[in-house]
Amino acid sequence: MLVPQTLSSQHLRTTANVRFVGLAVLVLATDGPDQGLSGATGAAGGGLRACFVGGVPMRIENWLKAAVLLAALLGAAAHATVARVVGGIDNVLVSDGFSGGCAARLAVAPSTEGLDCSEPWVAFNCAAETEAERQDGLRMFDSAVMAFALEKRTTIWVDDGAKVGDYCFGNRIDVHRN
Amino acid sequence: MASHGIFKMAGALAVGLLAALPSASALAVEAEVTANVTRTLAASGGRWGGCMAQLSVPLSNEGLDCTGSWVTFSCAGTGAQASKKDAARLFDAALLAFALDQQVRVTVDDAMQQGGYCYASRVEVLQD
Repeated sequence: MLVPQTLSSQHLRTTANVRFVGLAVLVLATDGPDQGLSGATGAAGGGLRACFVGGVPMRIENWLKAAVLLAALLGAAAHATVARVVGGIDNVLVSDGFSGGCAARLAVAPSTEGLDCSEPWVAFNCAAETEAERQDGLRMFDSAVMAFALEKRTTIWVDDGAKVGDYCFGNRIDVHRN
Repeated sequence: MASHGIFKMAGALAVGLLAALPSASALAVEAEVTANVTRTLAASGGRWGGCMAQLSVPLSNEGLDCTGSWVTFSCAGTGAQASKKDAARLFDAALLAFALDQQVRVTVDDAMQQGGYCYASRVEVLQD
């Protein structure tokens, strides 16, 4: 529970939705502010294997069910990944010409952590449609601005499945004392 | 016969005493914790209440039944605690203390929790 977050995000990466890897599935779990991401394997593997146990012929509806399940899993394989990016903030951006409204340029580009993010910028979506999302975005951006001003180290959870314009979405930011 | 009556009375007295004892859940603790803010958290989707601060001392050291050393202010308004505006102000005070490296005196109530993390209802930023 109380794991210090000094590990590289490379070691902590997991999937946000579901990734089909053979019969293993990685599932996102959020279990507390000190960990936030953890992986569990084999969540759906047992179910798939059961369809083919011993090569026993199955009824057509079972084959259909298996096909639907497989299609769903492969569809989810358009996998969004959430990874922790540890570093600092190089720039902050506020603009009404940019769909997200606010963003921070990270010292460590999210793509170096295996994320599908073309830019080193992360958006917090300060211009979201709902008030609650806007408030979330503004609060996270405030933290980013503070970290930038004080040159503090940050850990940002970046989700490459939730893009704001061209930028990946940051769904959590921690600012560290040192 | 007389001794039988005494036993009955003693039994009734014991039951009465047990009933009078407060239940464990009623033993909530509110404590003032003086510490530094070592880390701040802002998250989307109401997770962890949307905002938290990590203090430099484990809350269990203060006799609180809280997880770790994090407190939530419930910025997302997902708890039944303060309003979002109150929560935002509490979090702002925690950010100020963090930025200035000043100590805080935080009132923590372990009866109000979000996911095991205790709620802080007051933040006082101290001057050295």
